[in-house]
Amino acid sequence: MKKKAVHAAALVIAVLLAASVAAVAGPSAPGPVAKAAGKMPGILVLGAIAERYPPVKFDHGKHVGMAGACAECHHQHDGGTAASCAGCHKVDPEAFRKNVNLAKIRPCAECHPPSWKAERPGMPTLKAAYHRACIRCHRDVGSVGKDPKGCAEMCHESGAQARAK
Amino acid sequence: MDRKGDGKMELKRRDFLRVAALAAGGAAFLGRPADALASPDLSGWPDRAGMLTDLTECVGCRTCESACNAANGLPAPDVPFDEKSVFDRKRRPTASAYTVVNRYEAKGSANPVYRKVQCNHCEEPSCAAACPVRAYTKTPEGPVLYDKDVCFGCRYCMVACPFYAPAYDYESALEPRVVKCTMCHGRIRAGGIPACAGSCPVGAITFGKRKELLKIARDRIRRFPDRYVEQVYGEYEAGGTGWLYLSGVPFPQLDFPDNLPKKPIVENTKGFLSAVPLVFTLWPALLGLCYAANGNKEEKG
Repeated sequence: MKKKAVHAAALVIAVLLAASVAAVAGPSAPGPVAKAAGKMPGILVLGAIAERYPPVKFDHGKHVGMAGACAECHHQHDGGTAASCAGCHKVDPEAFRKNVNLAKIRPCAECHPPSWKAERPGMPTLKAAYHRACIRCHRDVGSVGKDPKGCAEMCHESGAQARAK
Repeated sequence: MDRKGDGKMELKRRDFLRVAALAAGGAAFLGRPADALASPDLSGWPDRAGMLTDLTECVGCRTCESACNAANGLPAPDVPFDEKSVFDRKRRPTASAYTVVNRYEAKGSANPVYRKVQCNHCEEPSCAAACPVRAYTKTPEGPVLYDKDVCFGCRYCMVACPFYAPAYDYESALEPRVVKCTMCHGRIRAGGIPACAGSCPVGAITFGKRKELLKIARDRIRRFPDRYVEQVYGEYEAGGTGWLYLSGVPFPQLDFPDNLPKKPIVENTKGFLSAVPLVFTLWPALLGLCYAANGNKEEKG
């Protein structure tokens, strides 16, 4: 009896989830996510340090449905706590409008430098920004465990794994 | 519970030894109070470097340990750097590992908290004050450095350090050597950043000018009050340390000593030590005079 009720509840939740994902991803759905969807990347291959670790395949589309909001990762406005508009935007009305109106997602590397810069010591490097973005959620949802895993266990394929393919 | 008791005992013993050590140091250098060894006024070095460890970011991957090992040409570790069983016990820096990461199950934190341990490069280092032969220097760049060529292996510095940072190299009996983190002084002078800070995959270790790091730390607390306890450890502890810390759980839970004075530890012994040269120079003269005077009297009598 109880089991049946649980199954029914699970089914309802699954249907609702599917519906909401479809609504977000569907071409006719309103909202900024849908607008950007046309240009939104599917699977991204992050291969900046391919000589050390084989490229990471990042399923952007899959994460869009789970993250809740673009700003969870693309934190341009930092939840409304960004210091100033000029910190990121050019204070040139034309460029500003273009940035905002096109919902342009700026590449991480525009702010996060590849290596430490004396002018902004507190700015996370590109490597740190990527790792934080992934680890922050994945550690909390427990999908990679609470303890650290080796680089190859989490996201990066090990050299051996890559060669085996 | 037991541990806390032990800590207290240890501190009492340490205090005693510290005074003894400083007394010996002072005696060795008449007329040179020990506080002169520790550069009390750092206002002339406004750009001195520091480090900021954000314990809420650290994921315990031990990449910093591995990078430190490589940068300092240290021997290969007994167990590889990706071995997680090392977290089963609390480690201290050793002669072959200038920094270690320990794991804590902290109250109020769903995830384990990882704490990186190394020399904190105090603003007024008690190791430098305790050293009878001036083997330690607080450099204008920020790091506290150790000179093995003058060290004779008394290990007073190890007793004096409130953070248990200096380690002794027991391997070389004929060449006594205390070892500790150098904040990669050579790299800093060459315009680079310390190996641990450069290698941290999540940017948990920030290198910069100490005064800027304090601003960054306070700014993070202001922006994310739920994430951090309202304290920058090292801002005032033991007179201030070059290495600063942010944490999401109270620092004592992570074995950070919370009983350190806000003024430099050196200050505790300053008054006493400044009297040592007086005692050693004036008293013999005075007593000698008395003796001479009494002797004359006896001869006459």
